[in-house]
Amino acid sequence: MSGAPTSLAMATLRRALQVKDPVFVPDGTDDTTRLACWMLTAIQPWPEAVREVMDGLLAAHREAQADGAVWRRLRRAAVLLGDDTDVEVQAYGQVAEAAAWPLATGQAGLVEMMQAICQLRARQASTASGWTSEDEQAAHAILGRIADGDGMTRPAREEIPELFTQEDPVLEKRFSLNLTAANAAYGSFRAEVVAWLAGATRIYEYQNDDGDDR
Amino acid sequence: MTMIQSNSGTSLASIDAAARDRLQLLVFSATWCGPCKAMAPAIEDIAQVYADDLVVARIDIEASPELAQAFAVRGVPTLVTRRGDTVIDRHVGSLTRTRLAMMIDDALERGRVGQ
Repeated sequence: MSGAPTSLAMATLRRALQVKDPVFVPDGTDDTTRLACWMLTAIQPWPEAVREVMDGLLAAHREAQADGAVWRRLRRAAVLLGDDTDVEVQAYGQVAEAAAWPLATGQAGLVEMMQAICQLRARQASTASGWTSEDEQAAHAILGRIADGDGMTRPAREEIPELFTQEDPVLEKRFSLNLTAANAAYGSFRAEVVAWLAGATRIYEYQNDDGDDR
Repeated sequence: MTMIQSNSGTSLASIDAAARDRLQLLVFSATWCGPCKAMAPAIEDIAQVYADDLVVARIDIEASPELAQAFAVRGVPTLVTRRGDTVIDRHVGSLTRTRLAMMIDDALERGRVGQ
């Protein structure tokens, strides 16, 4: 076992994904920064509206920026994106908000970035499936009415899809398809991160074996 | 080391005693709440960064229904900033660490203006 420290951010991410810590980590390896930068580049191409902030975040992580004022400026810029009226820019903004902290301290850095990118991917899958914000509002209005029941009793959770189908079969079908697509996209980014971590671990094991043979 | 207090009683006396005149962040959550679990690392980080100015208390709404009712909690997570008996702000739903830090900065700023 190497004495190379695992950052709090990496340990928290591994715990969240139920991925075991590698047996061997070479000294000087900074997986936390490499993974953060990989996550930010995994969502390229960035829309023009977010490019400047994303470039700034990537540079700050690569350089291990130590100036707190730079991070505060990045956070303010990220929040402006998160408040944008365009839902895709908002989703990128949430990624930026999560990424706008130095990784060396704290535990939320990587896990929060991963969750925000999962949400972004789910949003993009939703848009690609043709689901609109008007559809979302219409579905929530129906689901809200169903959940409220008749004022005396409320339907059981498992009865809700069937009641939704009775009220608007076309919208329910599209709602289900959208949900399936969004959930798959959300899960696929988690799987990509798990694969990245597994790849990093294999590299360490190879390096470790190499060292033992000498 | 966790900086967060757990509160499962019917009153906030222990939190009030620990906080004295510092700001309090009450985090109403539930064991089955996915967004509460997802936010936990961000809350830990905020508790650490603001340790001099802030006391964070996690309140399980099922273990402390009286407190949930007293603070009109309708969903989890619900985040409440409070100083003494005065509620400063509240937010229902999860927040990024950045937004949570803004909420705390704003509450601290209001406290300074009020002094």
